[in-house]
Amino acid sequence: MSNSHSYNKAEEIGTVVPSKYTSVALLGNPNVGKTSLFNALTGARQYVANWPGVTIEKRVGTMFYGDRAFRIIDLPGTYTLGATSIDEKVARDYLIYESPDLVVVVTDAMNLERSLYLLLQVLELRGNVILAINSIDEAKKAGIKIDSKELSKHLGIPVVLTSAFTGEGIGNLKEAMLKISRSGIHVHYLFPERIEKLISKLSSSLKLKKELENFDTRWLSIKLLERDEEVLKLTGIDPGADYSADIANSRYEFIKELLKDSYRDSEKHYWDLNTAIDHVVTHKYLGILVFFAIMYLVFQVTYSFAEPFTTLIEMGFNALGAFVDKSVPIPWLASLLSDGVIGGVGAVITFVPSIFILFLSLGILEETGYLPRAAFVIDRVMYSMKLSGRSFMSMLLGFGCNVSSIMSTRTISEPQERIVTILVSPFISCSARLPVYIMISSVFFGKAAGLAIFSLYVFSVLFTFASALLFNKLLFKGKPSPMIMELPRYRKPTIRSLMLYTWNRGKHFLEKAGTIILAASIVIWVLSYFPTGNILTSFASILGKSLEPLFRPLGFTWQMVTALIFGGAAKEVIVSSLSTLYGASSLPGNPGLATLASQITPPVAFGFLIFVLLYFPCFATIAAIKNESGSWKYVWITVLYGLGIAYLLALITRLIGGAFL
Amino acid sequence: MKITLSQLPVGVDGTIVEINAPHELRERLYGMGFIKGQRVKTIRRAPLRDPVVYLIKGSEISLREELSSKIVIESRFFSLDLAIPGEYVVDSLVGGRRFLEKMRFIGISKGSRIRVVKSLSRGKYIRINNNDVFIPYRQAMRIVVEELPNE
Ligand SMILES: Nc1nc2c(ncn2[C@@H]2O[C@H](COP(=O)(O)OP(=O)(O)OP(=O)(O)O)[C@@H](O)[C@H]2O)c(=O)[nH]1
Ligand SMILES: [Mg+2]
Repeated sequence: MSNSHSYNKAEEIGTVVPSKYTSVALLGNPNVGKTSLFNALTGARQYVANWPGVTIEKRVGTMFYGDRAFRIIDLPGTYTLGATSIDEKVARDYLIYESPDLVVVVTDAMNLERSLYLLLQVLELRGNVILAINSIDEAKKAGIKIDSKELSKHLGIPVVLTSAFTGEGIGNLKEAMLKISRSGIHVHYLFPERIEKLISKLSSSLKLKKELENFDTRWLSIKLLERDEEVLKLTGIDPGADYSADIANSRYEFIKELLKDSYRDSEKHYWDLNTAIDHVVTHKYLGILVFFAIMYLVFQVTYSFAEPFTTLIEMGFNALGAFVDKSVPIPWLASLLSDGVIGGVGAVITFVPSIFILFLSLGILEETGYLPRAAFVIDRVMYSMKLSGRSFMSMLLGFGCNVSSIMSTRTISEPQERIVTILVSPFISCSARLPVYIMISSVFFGKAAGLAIFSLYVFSVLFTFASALLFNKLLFKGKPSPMIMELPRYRKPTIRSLMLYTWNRGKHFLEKAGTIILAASIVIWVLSYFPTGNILTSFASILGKSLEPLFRPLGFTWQMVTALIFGGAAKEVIVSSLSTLYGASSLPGNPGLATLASQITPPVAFGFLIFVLLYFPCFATIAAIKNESGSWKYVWITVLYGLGIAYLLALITRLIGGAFL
Repeated sequence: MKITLSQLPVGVDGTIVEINAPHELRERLYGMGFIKGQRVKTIRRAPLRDPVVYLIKGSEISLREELSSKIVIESRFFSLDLAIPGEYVVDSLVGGRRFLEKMRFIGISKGSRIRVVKSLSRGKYIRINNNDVFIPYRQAMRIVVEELPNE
């Protein structure tokens, strides 16, 4: 990234953040609990999960404490300030070019030595730094003793022990922020003699450069000795040899000295349970079996646990629809309300239990720490497709929402792997498709409905893999990213955190129901009511029937075709469209949903589901593909490819199914 | 002996001597604790043998062979296929019951002393209990030995 660009960004922020706010950046290794602290400080409910790389963009929240207003900035996790992937760069660039008033370096009490490395790098760069040692609850349980006073004395900066989990120390952290915002501290720790000499030599020549007067020359010198590419370019000085190993060693030496008196590890081996669990879930043979068993369980549970609730909600909406229909005297208005709005939106709301249970299951996988293990187990397979376990993790997230899986690719450091993952993300079966699967499966596959749905999920994974392989072969010649990944310790998810996760993700579905799905339902009702008031001669039928010949080889009815068209807005709209086009009993000429079963055969129905899975992604996903890949070209590639294959496979399904039945 | 991190047997630890990874990855590795003089232990291999989880500074980190083969470590323990002629003690055998049985048959079990006589690309000639035995490469990979200091 060029410097002028970053400066522009700094100016932009300057206009957004009023100067009376004290800006505080939360920086730290991945998965140490930065977002959890952010939530505790600001009362926000940002996405928290137990794997490295959850936060990919900076998030801003406000906190009032004492007589001050603070603007807290949650940053993506990073191991060093010499970052490579996009998310890490966000953290680095923010720190360097937008220079917040305070920096809280968040570290992990269970893993203090390693996480202090970043603190030292920050101290080299600037002052006004607070050290927060988080997860102190876990450390206490493990018998680890940390003397924060001693640490603070040696480092010369405030040190706070916190737990975002129990709330311990949060008050102290606020207090420390208030204090330092009033006074300001800048400390330097010293490298060994020979490195210090090099630093001061470089510093004096850097001081002569006018254009660098905004930078700390000591920091620039250190970065030059480490051969940081950006700083080499910025200063135009080449110090020759690479001292990065030397400097890294000195930092760890310093940390060792620091922790000698202030940190006592326990005799207890907290890895024991982890090791036992990992022994099973990453086992040679069991590992893959466990993975499929877990996935099967997730989708089985999603389908069967939700069913009673689904039925209940459905009955509720039916009763409501009937009541409105009876009590509204104007026929067209009654139909709009009962068939369009209540029928359309209700058809989607019916699936809220399924969606929430799906998110709950995904939440358990994310919060326990299983996700990176799945990535670890599968990495070799991905590698042969020139991807990595990391991109597999992104794909798994796509079961919730394709947009979040596309966003999460920012943690993938190799551009080619990242683009391929973005391109294939739409083929992972997201939660919005689930209502369509359930609706169609329960009509056509009876007892085998759960299996039918699971097979769609398996198919979606296999198809995604195959497409990745194809795109890699056709479009790219790069190499996969190196898959340097930390496996977090397992954590027992709390009810509260699971509820929060489920609500955060599921809420989006409800919002969609109230906006885009509601709007689409009204449009569909209007199109199926006008101009004649008879659905068979309505605009919707004209639209559907004009395109229906195209889909005749697949066996789709004109109602299905119309529903597919509107499904471009959001996949759930397919459900509301079908329900209005088939189910709205008060529209004259309407055949009713049961007739769908007599119009098409189960193989056609399954073909339809495959078509729904693969044909074009929803608007939100398209926008995400465009933004993250940076080009419409990739949108076209994935959309046309998806449509083509969707058609082909629906046809094949019908032909094969027809041959057997 | 100096071996690469990728050759470090499961359950064994060694000390990092050198990191030959490309610059941009090295930065990251330093931040994760991979520095000269640091002890590192192999924890577990993935089902398809790659990647491998290592324990370093209290955290578990997975690396692919591509990268771990560029990290040189000093370890007293390694698999027999890497051994140069000299004296060794068998530290452990990695394999199922059939493999263990086979090894016991030729006199190799935990703690047995062996001398590597000759090193070939397809395996090792070793001397054990005054017998000369040939151990094929595939089996040698599964025998973890400890170097004995030259007396
Ligand atoms: N026991 C305990 N768990 C914590 C604490 N803080 C965070 N966690 C858990 O640690 C995991 C990671 O928390 P996050 O807040 O997402 O971490 P992060 O630093 O924002 O992670 P990235 O965004 O991936 O860099 C989650 O499972 C949290 O529930 C704590 O103080 N105690
Ligand atoms: Mg976060």
